[in-house]
Amino acid sequence: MDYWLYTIEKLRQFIIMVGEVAYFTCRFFREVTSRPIEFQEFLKQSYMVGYKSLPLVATTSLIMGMVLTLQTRPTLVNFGAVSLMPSMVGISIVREIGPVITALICAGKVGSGIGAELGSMRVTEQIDAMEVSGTNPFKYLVVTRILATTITLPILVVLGDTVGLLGSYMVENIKGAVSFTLFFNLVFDYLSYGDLIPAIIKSFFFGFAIGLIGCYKGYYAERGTAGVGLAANSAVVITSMLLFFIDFLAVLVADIFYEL
Amino acid sequence: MLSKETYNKDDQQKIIEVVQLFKKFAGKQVLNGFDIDLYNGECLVVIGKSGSGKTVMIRCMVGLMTGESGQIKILDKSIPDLDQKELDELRLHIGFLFQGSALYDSMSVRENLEFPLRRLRKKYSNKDAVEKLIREVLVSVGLEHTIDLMPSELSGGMKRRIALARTLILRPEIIFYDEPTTGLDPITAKEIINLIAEVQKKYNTTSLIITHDLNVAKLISNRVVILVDGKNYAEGTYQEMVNSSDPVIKAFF
Repeated sequence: MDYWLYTIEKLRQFIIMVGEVAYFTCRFFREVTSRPIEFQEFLKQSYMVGYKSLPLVATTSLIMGMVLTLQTRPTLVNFGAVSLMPSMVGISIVREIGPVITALICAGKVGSGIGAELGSMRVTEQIDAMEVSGTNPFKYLVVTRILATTITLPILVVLGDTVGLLGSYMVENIKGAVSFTLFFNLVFDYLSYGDLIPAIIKSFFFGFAIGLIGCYKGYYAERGTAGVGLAANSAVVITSMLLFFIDFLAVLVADIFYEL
Repeated sequence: MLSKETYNKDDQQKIIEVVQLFKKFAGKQVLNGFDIDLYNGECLVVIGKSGSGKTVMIRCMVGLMTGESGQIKILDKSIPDLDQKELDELRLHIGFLFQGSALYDSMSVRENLEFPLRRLRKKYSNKDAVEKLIREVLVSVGLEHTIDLMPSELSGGMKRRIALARTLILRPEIIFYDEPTTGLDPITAKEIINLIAEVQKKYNTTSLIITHDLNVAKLISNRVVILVDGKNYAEGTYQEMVNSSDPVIKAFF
């Protein structure tokens, strides 16, 4: 009996959260088009999200490209298909691994950061202080951050893909003495806009989800320092789940277009 | 500050009027028909136990919370009936000093003080005028040297002063103080009380202070309201409260 009550309560909380996130999203679209535009804050957040995340994204992408090549190469050698290596790695990184890994890294770094920052501002009454001074805190804090993650994530994905391919090339160059030009010719020979564009489009949605959930969790953090930790933690968990869900939907939609 | 001896509310215009304010939290009735009137230039101190609804009351008054029923009028405007734009306009006339100071910790003191002026970009487009205004309010609170410091580099008392300076920068007609001396040592608390008195005198503001600190009521109040279980229990001057034989009032004084 207790188990059922617990399950019903959790389901109720989940439905409430979905409703609140939907309201939060609608409010974002309403506020993003209204004046004043907080351009300075948007630039600052873009710098924080994009530039400050670049070293982490670059490092993980480099390692990801190297590992992917190291693990795949022996199998392709066995089948005598090692010449397909660059194109296989290229398609894997550009279509799927690059966007998803970059988004997960950003969910951990940026999403938790936003959740903790806004949560801390909420529990120390800084958001209330903004509101009382007549500044719209939603516009200043939330809209700028969601816009920053939405716009900078695709840029990070493209840079991460490039660094990942460089990592792959480094391993391939050492193992198989392939030249830079040949490697990238083989990569781009098999890549089409059909691989690149859906990946970039879904990166916008990934960025939006990271900003939205981080802001939502932080903005509605409950009182106390425990609430700040919970906001940061749940921002990462929910965003990570949501990223996979968006990825699944994006693949489904892209598949329909390919079929057409 | 208007001296307690000469202040006569009958000569003054009513600035704030709260009638039968009710507010419930998680099934508990926090405000239970609270009434209050505040007159131009007056300093009203509301005293009550923790959980008696003091903070909820002023949060409802500035529109940070909504009451379930009741009337809140500030400067002849009914707060529950205002839309967001009208509320923001009215808030230009209201200052709020938060209990924990609520300084923006990612901004320097200068940026904290500039922040409320953002809404008035046209009026404050001249950087020199803004700088002059910032320095002027910092001088008012005696902390001009902290202009480039971050909030993390300030003591509790200094944070409270900077928060007051941030409140003053828009020259509000009314200032709400939420426990202005809580968490401060007795000497710093007294400095803050003196500062509130100076501000009231210099800027001719109307003040509503909620506090546990009887020194605030003793030193600067024109009138004291005791809040018990979410409604007014007693009202009068500090001296009247001290002389009262009511056991509930005696428990406070």
